[in-house]
Amino acid sequence: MAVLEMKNISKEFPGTKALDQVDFSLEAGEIHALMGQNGAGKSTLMKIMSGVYSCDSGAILLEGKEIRIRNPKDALQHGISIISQELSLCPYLSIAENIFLGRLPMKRGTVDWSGLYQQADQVLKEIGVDLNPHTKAGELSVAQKQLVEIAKAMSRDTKILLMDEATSALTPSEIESLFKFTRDLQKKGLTIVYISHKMDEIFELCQRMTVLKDGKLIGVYTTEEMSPVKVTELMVGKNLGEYFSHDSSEFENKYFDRVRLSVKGLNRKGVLKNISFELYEGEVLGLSGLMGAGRTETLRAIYGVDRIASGEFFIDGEEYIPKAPKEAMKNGIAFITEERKEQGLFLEMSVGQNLTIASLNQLSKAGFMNSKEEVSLINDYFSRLSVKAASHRVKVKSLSGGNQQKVIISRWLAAKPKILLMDEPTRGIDVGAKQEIYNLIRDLAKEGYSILVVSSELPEIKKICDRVLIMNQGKIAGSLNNKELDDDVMNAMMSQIASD
Amino acid sequence: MTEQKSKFNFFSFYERYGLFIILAVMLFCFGIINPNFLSKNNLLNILRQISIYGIMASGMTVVLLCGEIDLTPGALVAFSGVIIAMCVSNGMNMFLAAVIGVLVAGAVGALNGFFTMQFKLPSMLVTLGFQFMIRGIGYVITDGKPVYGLPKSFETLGGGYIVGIPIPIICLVIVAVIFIIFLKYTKYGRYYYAVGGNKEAANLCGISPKTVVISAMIISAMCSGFSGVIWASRLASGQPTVGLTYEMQVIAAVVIGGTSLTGGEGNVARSYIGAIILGVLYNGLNLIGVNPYWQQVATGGIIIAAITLDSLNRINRK
Repeated sequence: MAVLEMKNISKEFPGTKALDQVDFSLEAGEIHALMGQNGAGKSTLMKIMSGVYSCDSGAILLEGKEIRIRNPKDALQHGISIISQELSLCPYLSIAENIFLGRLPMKRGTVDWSGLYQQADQVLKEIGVDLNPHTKAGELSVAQKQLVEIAKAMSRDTKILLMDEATSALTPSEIESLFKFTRDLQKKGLTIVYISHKMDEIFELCQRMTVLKDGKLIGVYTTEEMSPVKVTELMVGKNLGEYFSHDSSEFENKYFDRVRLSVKGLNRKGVLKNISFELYEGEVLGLSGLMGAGRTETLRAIYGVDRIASGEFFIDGEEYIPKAPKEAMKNGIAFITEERKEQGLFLEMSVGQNLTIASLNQLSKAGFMNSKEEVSLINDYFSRLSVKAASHRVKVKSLSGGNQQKVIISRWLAAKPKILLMDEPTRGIDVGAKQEIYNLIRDLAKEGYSILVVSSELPEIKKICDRVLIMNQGKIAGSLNNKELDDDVMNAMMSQIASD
Repeated sequence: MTEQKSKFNFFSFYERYGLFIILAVMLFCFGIINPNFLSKNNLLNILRQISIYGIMASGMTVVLLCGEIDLTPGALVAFSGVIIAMCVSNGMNMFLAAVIGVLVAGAVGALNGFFTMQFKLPSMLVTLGFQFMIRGIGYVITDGKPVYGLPKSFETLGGGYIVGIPIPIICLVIVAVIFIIFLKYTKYGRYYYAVGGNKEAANLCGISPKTVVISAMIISAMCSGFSGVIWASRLASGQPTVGLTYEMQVIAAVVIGGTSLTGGEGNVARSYIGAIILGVLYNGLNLIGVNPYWQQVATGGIIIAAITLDSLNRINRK
């Protein structure tokens, strides 16, 4: 029986038709994947279901009865909860307050604090999350925040749970426990809509899938009749023969002789312990490990963002002291951060201004901008990375995640670096754009760039890295060549926590 | 789809022409009620009245662009005026005195910026504190009394004309041209938008938010100092009491012009239109004989209307 049916849903935004007469139906107790590239209309459909947007036309039926969802509160009352891609926690409130925000337990007209923390503790324990409910949300890592979001949804009387990129920042073991929990929920009769760019997750977890493309319904399929390649082809609308092949010969025939960056004895109190490694010219070196293993912190130390206790750095044999990002840029280092919106983009500025912001020195003379040169530089990178935007004058926030990422990569390539530090370069972007970015990374390596990549996705690491350093609790636990990469070995190295 | 394109969109229309339409309607209405309003003399008078606000609004725009605020302008107008008057009446060359006045103001701006960034304080509170201090020091060194004894020639800057145009207006035009070029065509201009838009991202792009904010505060304070010079010249004295709440008028002008208080978005040319709208409103209401108390009510109404339309426009764009 269909628990939720959406019929002929259309939604238009100025200039684009986000959804065009889309049908969507959920069977009770299934895990249903919603598939499509960025801009296909997945998020819009989700937002209509959860009351963030209202549809222009179409009907929504819950258990056969037509309902209206005018705002998020309506959705919650109908038992529809969303865990969204964009986290929405209040940083200065505790985990418990965040979970029960808007419905704090009351006792004689005031908040029942001890009851609140008890209940929150219970919710967290139920989903197997080891967090203190008193902790402020702002102190949590991205992964932990996501877990709190899940706890928040679970603490409500939810019939339909929408999970939008819920695992995008989780480590393999965290994902595994989330899956286990998701299946438990399914057994209890919950219906789940699952959006993820990770194909393996879809096929592991979901029974059926609805594929969207450019706001239109392509079809509804069972997972059994599908394969990752088939789905991707439906999503992109093209044949993608080599999309999922992994050509290891490319990695075997390469050898490196020129050290570009060498890091010796990097220490940061409580975070990094005696990190030493070498990054070669033309090499893609992966940094793998669990959340909190010190991967991002290593990049930040090299880029001069955080204060470090000790450490020596050499670029092409010359000593380099990471005092500030400016210094790093002068020495040919670029840093593509994990959180695009928070640390990368200037949302109110145009696409073009976002692209050139790190190369204003080369585009100006005596402080005055050379706008001709600026436009031609922008156009260069638009075609080189095939950035899709109506014009370089539109605001960068109007672009899809993949295109925003391309703008940021363009920004740093335009600054003419030798070393690229990339933190989760494909996080939250769709399959097609992901593949483009992988190809780009490989091409850049061929051109001689040295690239240090942090990634939580093992398939991604396998696909792009010549060599991987495994980090564990602020230390380097091991180093593997591309052909030695094996999920089990890596997982073991990443989580040998208790043993030492 | 084609239907939608041809559909008139009030908000995008307002975004582009709204300020000019408001201004035109005001000029038209006041002109009909009192024909004297549109006389050349009166229009020049309005421009002269807004010239010092316009100069201060230039600096304030830069400060708001980087997401900060400056509450010292009014106090600095009085303070730099007093300093210049004291220097000149003690026999100092008046050009040198004017430079000193502007530089002293700039130093206060540097302190504003330094405290804000070094100790991560809200600029609203830091500049509020300095507003009191500066105003107070002005009273202390003058004993609260105006400083007179300035040569007649000193009054030229505020009261003189060049080819029939009051010199303060010429000063404003020069300042306006410099700021429009500075913000639009130099890389430094871009820095203010970047820092106001996303401090963390700016830092990672090698743009130091600290330097940028401190420079914005210095620019704003120097604009106030320069306005103080003009004002002292107009008044032919250094008055420690002038400039009360000027910063509020200036912020109002900038905000009417559409610069966002949260930083990263705005346009200095529109701040001047904002200043002109306020100037026209005061002058027009005066000329048609509206009770000054009602003038305040009208000013408030204009501010609320402008920021509401601006915000609706922003919501509509999403």
